[in-house]
Amino acid sequence: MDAKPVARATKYAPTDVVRGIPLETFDQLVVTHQRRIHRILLTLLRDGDAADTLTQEVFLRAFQKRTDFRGEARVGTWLVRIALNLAKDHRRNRRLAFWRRLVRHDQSRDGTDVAPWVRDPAPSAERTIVAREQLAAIQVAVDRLSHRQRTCFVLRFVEAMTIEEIAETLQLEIGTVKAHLSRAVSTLRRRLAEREGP
Amino acid sequence: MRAHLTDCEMTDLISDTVEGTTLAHLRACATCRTEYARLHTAFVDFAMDSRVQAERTEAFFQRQRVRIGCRVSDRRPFVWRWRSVWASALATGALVAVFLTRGGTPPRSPADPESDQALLSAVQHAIQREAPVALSPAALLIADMERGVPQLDRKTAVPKGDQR
Repeated sequence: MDAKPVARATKYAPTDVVRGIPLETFDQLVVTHQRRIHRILLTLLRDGDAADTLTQEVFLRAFQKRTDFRGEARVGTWLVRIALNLAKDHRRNRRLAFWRRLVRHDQSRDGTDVAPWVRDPAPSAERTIVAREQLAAIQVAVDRLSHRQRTCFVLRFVEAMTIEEIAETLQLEIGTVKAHLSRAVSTLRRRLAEREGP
Repeated sequence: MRAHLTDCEMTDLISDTVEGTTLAHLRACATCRTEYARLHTAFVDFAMDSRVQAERTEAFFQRQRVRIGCRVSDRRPFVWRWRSVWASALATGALVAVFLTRGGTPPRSPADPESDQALLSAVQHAIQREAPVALSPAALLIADMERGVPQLDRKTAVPKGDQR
């Protein structure tokens, strides 16, 4: 078994640390960070349209607040923080919409069906139906985590951010981030075990 | 042998921030190795799938950049438009405030002193009159009686030359 970390793809550029964002560099800022912001939003929301819209919103807000950026955090951290706040608001609104639909006895999809989002695997040996079911199960389990736990989990295991980076992004203590991660892993372990049975 | 790995230790293990004692336990405990492999596979699958799902063509991101650019440029005139609205509202408010402030003392026209003087003259004239205006005919009748003029019905009175 490969014991390497799950992913270590994304790193911040050292030039990210700036005080204020000059207007002429804003386009480059979008090019540099839009994929990562879009990926985080898509992983958290599992809604392509919402991820696209909110990615635009992140940069729009960044543009409006660019003169307020004091350089206390990296630009990437600052943008991720904006994205996480937007994702949180979006999920809250979606939950409210769900309850409204429920009250109206609408029998249409409530958004919890993850099957369409699960990647249709290539017909290879390593991607079996069982693996796809397990993937769907963990996606459901991650989706049911609390906002803090899910955010910590995604930033750690999908974005490969260090504990310190997550703490800086979420403006939490390192110990708090570790506790959220530990609880997330504990919950996922339990739910995967329940699905697989004794 | 110690108990199985805790959630915290398992998290550290998967996060690759593990301590030596945990690794030593992992080598010795088949149950924890199986559990670690199961979780690691599940998390790797989740991470890989998230990344694959988020993959988009360059054209997609190009379109997204264009939309961001449009929204950013739309926002500028929007701000300016509202600035002009606020400026107009402030100017209007200032005018209204000036008007209301001066409303307590109505503007005097140049003819005001003359009209005041005319009003004063009319009042003096009314005071100095011997009889009120409404009683003026009675005052005339009394004056005629005092002069010895025969009382006539003024409505039917006919000049003497015309009486036949």
